[in-house]
Amino acid sequence: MKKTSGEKLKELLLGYIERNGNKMDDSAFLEIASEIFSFQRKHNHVYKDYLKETGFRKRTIKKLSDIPPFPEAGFKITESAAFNPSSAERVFVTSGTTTGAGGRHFVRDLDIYRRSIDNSFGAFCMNGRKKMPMLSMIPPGELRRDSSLSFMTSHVIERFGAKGSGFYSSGSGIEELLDALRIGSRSNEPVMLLGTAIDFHNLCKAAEMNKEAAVLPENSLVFETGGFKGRKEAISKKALYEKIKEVFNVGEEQIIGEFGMTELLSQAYDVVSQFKRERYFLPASTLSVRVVNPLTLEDAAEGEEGLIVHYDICNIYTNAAILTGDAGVRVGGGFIVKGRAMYAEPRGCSLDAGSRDE
Amino acid sequence: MPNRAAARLMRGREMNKIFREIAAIWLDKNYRFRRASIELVSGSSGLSKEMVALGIDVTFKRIMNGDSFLPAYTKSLKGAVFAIIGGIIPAVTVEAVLACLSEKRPLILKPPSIEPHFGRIFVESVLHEYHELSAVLKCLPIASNDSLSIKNAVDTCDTIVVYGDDSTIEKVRLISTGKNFLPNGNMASFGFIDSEALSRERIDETATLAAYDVAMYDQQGCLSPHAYFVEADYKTASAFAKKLFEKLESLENRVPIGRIPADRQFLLRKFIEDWRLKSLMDKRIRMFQRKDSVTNSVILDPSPETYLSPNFRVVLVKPVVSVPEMLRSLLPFQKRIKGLSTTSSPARLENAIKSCDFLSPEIITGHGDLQYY
Repeated sequence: MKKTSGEKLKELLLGYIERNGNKMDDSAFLEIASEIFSFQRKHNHVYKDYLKETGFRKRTIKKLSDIPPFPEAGFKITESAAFNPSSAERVFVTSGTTTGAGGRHFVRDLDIYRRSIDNSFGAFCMNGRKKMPMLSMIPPGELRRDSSLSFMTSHVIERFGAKGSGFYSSGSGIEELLDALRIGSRSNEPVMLLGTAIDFHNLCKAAEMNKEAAVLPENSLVFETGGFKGRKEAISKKALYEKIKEVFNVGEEQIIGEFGMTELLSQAYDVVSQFKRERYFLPASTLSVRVVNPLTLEDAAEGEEGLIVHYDICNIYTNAAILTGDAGVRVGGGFIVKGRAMYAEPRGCSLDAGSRDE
Repeated sequence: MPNRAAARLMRGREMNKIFREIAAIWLDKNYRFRRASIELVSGSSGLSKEMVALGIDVTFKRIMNGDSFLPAYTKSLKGAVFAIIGGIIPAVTVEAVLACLSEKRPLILKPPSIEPHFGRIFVESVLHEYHELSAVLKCLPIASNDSLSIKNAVDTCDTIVVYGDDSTIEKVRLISTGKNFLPNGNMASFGFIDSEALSRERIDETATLAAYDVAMYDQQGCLSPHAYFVEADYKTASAFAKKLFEKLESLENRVPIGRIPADRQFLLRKFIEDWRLKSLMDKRIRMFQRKDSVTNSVILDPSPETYLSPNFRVVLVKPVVSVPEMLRSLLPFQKRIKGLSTTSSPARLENAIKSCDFLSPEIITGHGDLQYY
């Protein structure tokens, strides 16, 4: 059977992963991104209309920034896909914690997502290990079919989880999880504890009430997947990591931060061994990240705050280039997320003596 | 402490004459206080030097012309006045000073912390020219978070004038119990363009004046329109929107847009992208803008809802069939409307407003005249 253009692009992508593993190859990345752009420009009608609206007319892509990013908000109000969305293998839905409205990511081929996870998670998080017991506070994919994070977690455990791995509710299952940690600490086999920022926040609270249980076996890892924004109780990443270190008696290098978005099939990770000063995210080899000036969409200087733009070559069937609503700064080969861009809401004239004063 | 006795000495002075003299010297391009203020205000406010100079010219020309320029609160001033100025628009400071002088009220003026220079320089210039006013006019350049100094100034005065956002006004209100409290919060203006002003002969001039009102102070003042309601069909409104965009572009060559704060940069991008996405769903929405930036954008939107602009020369154009249709669209902003401009006779707007009974704009004026208020 003749391969579709999407399938050919998948072949290109898998070849890239095969050749490079998790090492970024800029020119090969640009070549694939450019091919994907042509495909999406032709087959994703929402994106095609969007490009028309922006006045985009370029015929050739010479650099990544030539590809106009599609706004993250577009996933909320359009069905942006380069295929019939009703034939999606899975639809991942954003929580909409910030705006109240959820976005939908139509995933045509879950195998691409699995390959992307295998490629980057192993390289960033396993540190040479093949498997280790993984205890997740993130619900499994079978329970949360619309959650991209749950899908990823289930796949990670299936692929990298050793005997003793399991899922625990960060609400009702916390005592059970603490029991499992206690048993694990006796066997002294390192484990990986997975959860969102709020999961770890809750776990730390519970563990603080029972010091004995709050011990992780030596060389264990904490895998934190974000979710700091839009909660009733604001948590800063730094404060949470300090708390995790204090409660579980782990070092900074044992905490891995993961950056993912429902709209992406590639991730970024911050692994402390790679930093000299501040923690920052390093993207997988299938993800390139720019920080841009909000007015011009040109690259912001290193250290200058701007909007984060992702180029995810695993997003063959939707939008590879995404303009997020996240503010960030570029640092080293990676980026720091400063949170959602703080918008000053329109309010008539700018007589905001208080808010814009020192 | 403001000198109430000295204020009484001002009685009998020809204040309008003084105002015109002050205006004349400020219109002199070589006047040292003017030159200093253009330099310093541009630095602190982010407005381009050309825009600060234009703002000074507009403000003082209207005083020279003897046009009405005093703020609506002028007649409500009582006793000694403490005016807390907000924002970055020099005209607000001038208004406050002249309102007090015209009513013979001693004034302590607190310039905004964000742009502290104009207030200080303007007061200094007035006192330099009219030494005798030093007993009734003082500039108090204190920070907005210096609560103690602000409270002390409030305690010594009878009237408190405050410009600012809701939280600033509320903070000052709390320490102004028993005082004559005159708040000036965030306001917005809009424009109405009647069908005659869109004729082939007049559309160019109509768009030129509209662009001027939008661009003034990079739309950060209360008097720059957020939307123009156009009494026309979709096609004519579209032609006007395009023309307005061209005029904004050409105006930028003469009066460049200034520095845009980071939060506003994010807002501008979000605003434009949201509209672009809306335009994918509603083909009647059209956007006129540059490829390389989001400022100087004109959005043609035929929906009945009206939105506030993020400022910095971004404006909506909305076709309507009648003035009442426009007024209905403005209902959500009924307590926030500073000015309405119109290409038709102001009486037409005034009559419609009287009959709708829910809007009470402070100013109704001619098209392109908003900035003269």
